[in-house]
Amino acid sequence: MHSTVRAAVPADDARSIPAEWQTILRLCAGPGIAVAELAARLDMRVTPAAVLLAQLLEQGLIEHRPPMSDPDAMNIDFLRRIRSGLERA
Amino acid sequence: MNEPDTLAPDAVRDAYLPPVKILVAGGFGVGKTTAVGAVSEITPLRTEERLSAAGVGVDDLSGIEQKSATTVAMDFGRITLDVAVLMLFGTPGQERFWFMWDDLLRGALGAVVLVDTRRLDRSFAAVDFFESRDLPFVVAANCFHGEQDYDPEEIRDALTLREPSTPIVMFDARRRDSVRGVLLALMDHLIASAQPAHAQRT
Repeated sequence: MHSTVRAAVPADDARSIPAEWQTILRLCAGPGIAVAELAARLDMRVTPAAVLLAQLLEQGLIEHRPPMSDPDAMNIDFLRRIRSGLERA
Repeated sequence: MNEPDTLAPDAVRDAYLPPVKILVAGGFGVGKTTAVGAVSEITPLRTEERLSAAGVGVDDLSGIEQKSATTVAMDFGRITLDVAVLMLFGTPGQERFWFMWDDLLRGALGAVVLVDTRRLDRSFAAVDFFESRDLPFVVAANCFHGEQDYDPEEIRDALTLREPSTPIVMFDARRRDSVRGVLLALMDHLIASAQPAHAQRT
């Protein structure tokens, strides 16, 4: 739900894969998209979307990243960088 | 042929930014959807998840019928920063189901509990939930009706907050700057909590 995924290959270079997978590759071509967001854009519930994404992951078509884990998140410098980024956003 | 490096166009690929998860909770009608929408860079999305007792990994399921499966809906919004992507999850109002939902808290950095002082009781469940699981949070009182009848200390007393350091801020859920101010207050709270106890700042 809260992990993000990102395309590992451009959609245009993966023409032989199912159209649904290509759609996903296009949706996650940027700096990473949350599984929750991807599911909403695909008009799917989170769990079926995650099952679908697991298939793409297995094929090496996408990479995924969990949310910052606690020890990472509690790194005070990182927290400060988020804060200053938010201030400028 | 499958080498991403050789396939990459001239443009540098976007960095894969670390995701940071923040929960926006509070009872029905306190402005969660409005707040997520005000601060998100995308039109907020509604995302659905089906919860069922069979799939939740709770050891003690006594008293939970299989038919207690339910669909919960969350609002999703995001703010892309230079160092991370903030993912905002407006939690579903059915707090009675949260306990069987491990994923709700997993990976969350912190939370915002929205309150409406005319209906404080609607936010008790969220406060209890985060306190019992030690997730840091700030309380944000929505003033979109132009005023609040209570000041922050009265709200603190009424909510019986366990941690005296939990910030309480007044805000307007419709205004982007105002919601961002709440998130900044959460970051300040997290930064203060991360300070070693012996290294007080002055």
